[in-house]
Amino acid sequence: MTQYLAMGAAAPHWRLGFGQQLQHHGWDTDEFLLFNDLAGDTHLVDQDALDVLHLLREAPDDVAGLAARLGLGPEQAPVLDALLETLHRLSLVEYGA
Amino acid sequence: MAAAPKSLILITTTGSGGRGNESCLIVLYTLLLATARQFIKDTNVATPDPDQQPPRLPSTPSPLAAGQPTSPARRRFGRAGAAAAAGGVLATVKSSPGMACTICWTPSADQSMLIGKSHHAENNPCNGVPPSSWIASTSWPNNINRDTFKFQDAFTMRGTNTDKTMLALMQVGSDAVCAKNDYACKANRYDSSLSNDAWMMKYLCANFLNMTSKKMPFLTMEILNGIWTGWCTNSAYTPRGGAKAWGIADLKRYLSGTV
Repeated sequence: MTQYLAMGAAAPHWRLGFGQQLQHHGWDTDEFLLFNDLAGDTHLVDQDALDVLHLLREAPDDVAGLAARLGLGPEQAPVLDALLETLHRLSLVEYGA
Repeated sequence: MAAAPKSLILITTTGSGGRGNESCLIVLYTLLLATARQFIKDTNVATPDPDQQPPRLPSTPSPLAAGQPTSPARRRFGRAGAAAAAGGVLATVKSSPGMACTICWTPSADQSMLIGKSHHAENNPCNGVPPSSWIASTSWPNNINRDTFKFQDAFTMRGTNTDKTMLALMQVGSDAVCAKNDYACKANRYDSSLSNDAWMMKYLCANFLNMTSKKMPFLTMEILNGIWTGWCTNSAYTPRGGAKAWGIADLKRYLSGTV
């Protein structure tokens, strides 16, 4: 793994967790049931979390880049940070090169 | 620091393991919808009122008050309530690690499920084919010459047999052609006659060709190379981000479950 990462490693970014398919089901609210392929758990998430996961599936990014893609202001960066930490604890997202 | 999501129910399931199916997921959804909503109601977890203006930090003027346009995401992020406190994850239903309902989302599952407001429902095809299909195919993706393309032409870490062609590596051992939901059949793909190295190379070749032909867009060369390198160096693959390491059983289940 160290050899692999040493080969053209990029700056650390957030990315969608390995193997996560983002299978989800929504209703007429901003809440979704999301299946966690790694843990086998099912989460009830809001639109914010789902948007972040979809964006990371499209392309890994750092917090600033994600905030820009979401159209967030600087006052919302801490909320985005907290969201990413929560998603990371659940292995929905990964952080690294 | 965001609060940890509440655990609702510990669900344990038994079964053949490996890849699940659509009915498993539908049962879960039905159970979880009623349970999750009742749990949140009972614990008085505040849910944001969509009609309410999003509160702002005292020192920050409201962009709405200033008359500036904002994106929908900007209006949602930062509002008070459970969503902000839990970092977007309102609740979690725990399940035993081995349940693994599905690895890929089949086209039939995608068609049969109602996807409410999701705007990405169409993005999860799972059309991977096993090694036998690539052996039989005369047309490989990206004009790859099936008679000369070597394992090491795609995978960075070199070692024993990496100078062999992908075609030759896939032709070893037996290769049952299984129906999508025939998990007993797929279990035989573990093929005890093959060494772990030979099995890994065989199914990495198939997964590489499936990825290259866009049959499995969730796979990337970075992931496949990571699996191969991890296998060569540690006989395991550890997804980045701190998740537990995948041993040979996990790798076989995943690499054969995607096809």
